[in-house]
Amino acid sequence: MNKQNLLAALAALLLVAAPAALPAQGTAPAAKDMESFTCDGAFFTALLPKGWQKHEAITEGRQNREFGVTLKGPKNADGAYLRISVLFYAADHARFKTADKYLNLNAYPDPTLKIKGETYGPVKAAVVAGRRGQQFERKTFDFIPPYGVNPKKVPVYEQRLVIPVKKGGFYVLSYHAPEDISAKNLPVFKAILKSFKPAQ
Amino acid sequence: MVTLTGPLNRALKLSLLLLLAAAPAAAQLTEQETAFLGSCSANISQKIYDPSQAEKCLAELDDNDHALLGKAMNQDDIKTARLMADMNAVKDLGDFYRDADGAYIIYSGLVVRLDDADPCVLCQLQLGPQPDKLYPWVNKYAPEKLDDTKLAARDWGKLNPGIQQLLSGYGRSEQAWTGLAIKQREAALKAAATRKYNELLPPGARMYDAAANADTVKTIWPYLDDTQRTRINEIHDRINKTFEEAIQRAQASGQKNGEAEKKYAEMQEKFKGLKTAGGDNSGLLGKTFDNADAGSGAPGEKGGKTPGKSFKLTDAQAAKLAPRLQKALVGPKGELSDTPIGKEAIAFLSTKEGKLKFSVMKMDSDSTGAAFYPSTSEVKINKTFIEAAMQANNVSAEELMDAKNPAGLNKVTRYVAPTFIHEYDGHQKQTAWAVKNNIPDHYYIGQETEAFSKGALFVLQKKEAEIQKGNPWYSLQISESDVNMAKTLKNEGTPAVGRSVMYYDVPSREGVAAQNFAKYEDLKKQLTLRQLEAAKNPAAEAARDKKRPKSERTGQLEKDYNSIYPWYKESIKKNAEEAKYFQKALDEVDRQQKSNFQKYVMPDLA
Repeated sequence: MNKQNLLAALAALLLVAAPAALPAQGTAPAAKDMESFTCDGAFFTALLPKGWQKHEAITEGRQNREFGVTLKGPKNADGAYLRISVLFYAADHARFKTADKYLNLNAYPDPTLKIKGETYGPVKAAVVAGRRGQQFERKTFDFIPPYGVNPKKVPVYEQRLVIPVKKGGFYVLSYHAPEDISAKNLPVFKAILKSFKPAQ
Repeated sequence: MVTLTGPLNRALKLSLLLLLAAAPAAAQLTEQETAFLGSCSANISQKIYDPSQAEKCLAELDDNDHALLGKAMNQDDIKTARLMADMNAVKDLGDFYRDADGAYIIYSGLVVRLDDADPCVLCQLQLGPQPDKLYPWVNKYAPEKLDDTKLAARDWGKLNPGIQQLLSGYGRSEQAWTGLAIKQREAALKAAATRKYNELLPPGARMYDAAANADTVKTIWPYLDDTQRTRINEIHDRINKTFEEAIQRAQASGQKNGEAEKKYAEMQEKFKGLKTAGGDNSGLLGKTFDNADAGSGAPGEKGGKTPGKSFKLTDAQAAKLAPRLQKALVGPKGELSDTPIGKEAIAFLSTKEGKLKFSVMKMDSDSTGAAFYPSTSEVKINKTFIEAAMQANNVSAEELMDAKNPAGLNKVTRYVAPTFIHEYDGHQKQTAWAVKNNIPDHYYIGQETEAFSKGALFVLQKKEAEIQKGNPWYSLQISESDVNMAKTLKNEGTPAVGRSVMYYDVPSREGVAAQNFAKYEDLKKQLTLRQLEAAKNPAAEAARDKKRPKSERTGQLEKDYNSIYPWYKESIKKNAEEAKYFQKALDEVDRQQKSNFQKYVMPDLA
């Protein structure tokens, strides 16, 4: 295939539509339903919903220089889970030395790794805890089970905020939810964003 | 430093010292460290069993190349090994309950941890093997999963009233039931069902009063085996046929047999759905996760892109396909040959541990794509996975088996290759790693994360190689779930791949570590005792040892004892090395992708 044909082929792959911005429909969790969390290394604190499963892999986090927590929320009827993560990527993180690299890899479609139906929104400015950063949304999919012979493809809404730190490293706050339960639970993510206090 | 009393023979002394030599240089614990370890111990001794606290303690003990663990081992190895066993078990339980969801998954995980674990560290902590002992912990740390835990455990209160009555009738009380472990409960349920089945259908009986016993049959049905169910179904078929024939005879003479019609309808109503219902453990517990047919269409005769095309392989065709598929994968110009990880896999073929025994066959579960069997060093690809690849690529059995035209084979090979990398370069190499490091080949979930990451890395490298050949469509030629895993690895790294691997019947690294450390004290005592016996009368002890089963001989116990700490250290070290390997390989993928984009596509797409 010559270069022109290849360009045409890739351009066809890139016909993507931006996911619609998601309005929050649920109610914000009450203060009594949230609990304080400080990550290993004390890179941030935040209020997290009580009763949600929290995963902080400390040993692996120290090895990978990736600190923070992933929360597992409710699942939809297809068995796909809602996940929220608050992570700090240290300046000596082996793969993501800068927020820009993370954004370049995650915020834009990769035409060579095409998933049918996946769409990306524009990268926009964002402010979290008084820090300036960027955010993006995308509509993607979970495969249930992810390695099955013929897995189910479940639509998922994602929102990520990337907040660089002046002296190095950056924070990523992510919302990953099956579409049908996304709007209802978005206020939980908003509450976490509101309570988020970076220490770097 | 631990001192063994009594005379030691040289071999044993060396063996015991090996473990301590593997620990970092001796140093005294500081007051602060002693206090910290005290708080870790309190989590266990006070029966708090907080998984987060256990995780924090383990992280501190393992930090700086296990510096604190080494100091603690040097100060009191037995106490430290016990603490390591308990904390790893508690962390493992917490990790499991964080991810597990639904009764079937909880059942799988609890059987691994409470029934099959040897030793069962949670049982030593009084959290099993009877599942009721675990309920207070679940209620404290995962209250939303208590109900499913009870269902998974065949709790008396979760059994249907019919089976409760049956068990009571056979002398099983609710109180006695709480004293049974999960597998014992399953066995008791099966035994009760079989007893009732034999009462209804004594050996040789060809008929029974089906209508009168419909409720009983439905009650015992989930606990019967396939032979028993088939026999019942055959009897029902005979009964139905009798009614059908009576109805037809009446119709032929222009009449209506109301009685036969009524009884026939009654049979249909009473046994509705019974014939097809699996109703086994998985059916009872709602096994919804491991679902091969969850997607848009299961592989097989139906569906596909060309109506009427068959995507089924016979067993003979599958066997015949294996050598051709192997060559298409790892041959000189095979699918793997133009990627760095593929070349590593091909290089592994010529090593002793890399010898490839490859087959395509029907496996026990249709939803398993492929598997590596460490005991026989075999990589098996499931026939159903090949059929899924055929359907996805619209390749018929004839096209796949056509020796003159490899187009069909090439398409299927492409689809299968990431899975092959997973099994061969992932799992078979893990076994080789254990052999090389002279440690046991324990299977744990982190090995799946590595294997999935390798499959994903292959996809990333292969798509760059294909772009260089003028093929930008590679990601459309493999399964979307493989593409998705590759994206996960590329964009978020191996930790994110690990978060998406959900094998609940596989123990975690911590679960294996817990069992190993729990054996430490007993092994040390046993070896010391045998040493004392050997010192008294070497010939008699040697003779005794010869009579012991292989797994209990002194040489094997020494091996087990001496591998506890090295395995723990090496498995953590391996994790760190894997992270570096993937980072380096991903950086190279980034560089190559950038270069390919500059050559082949508009710069603003990069």
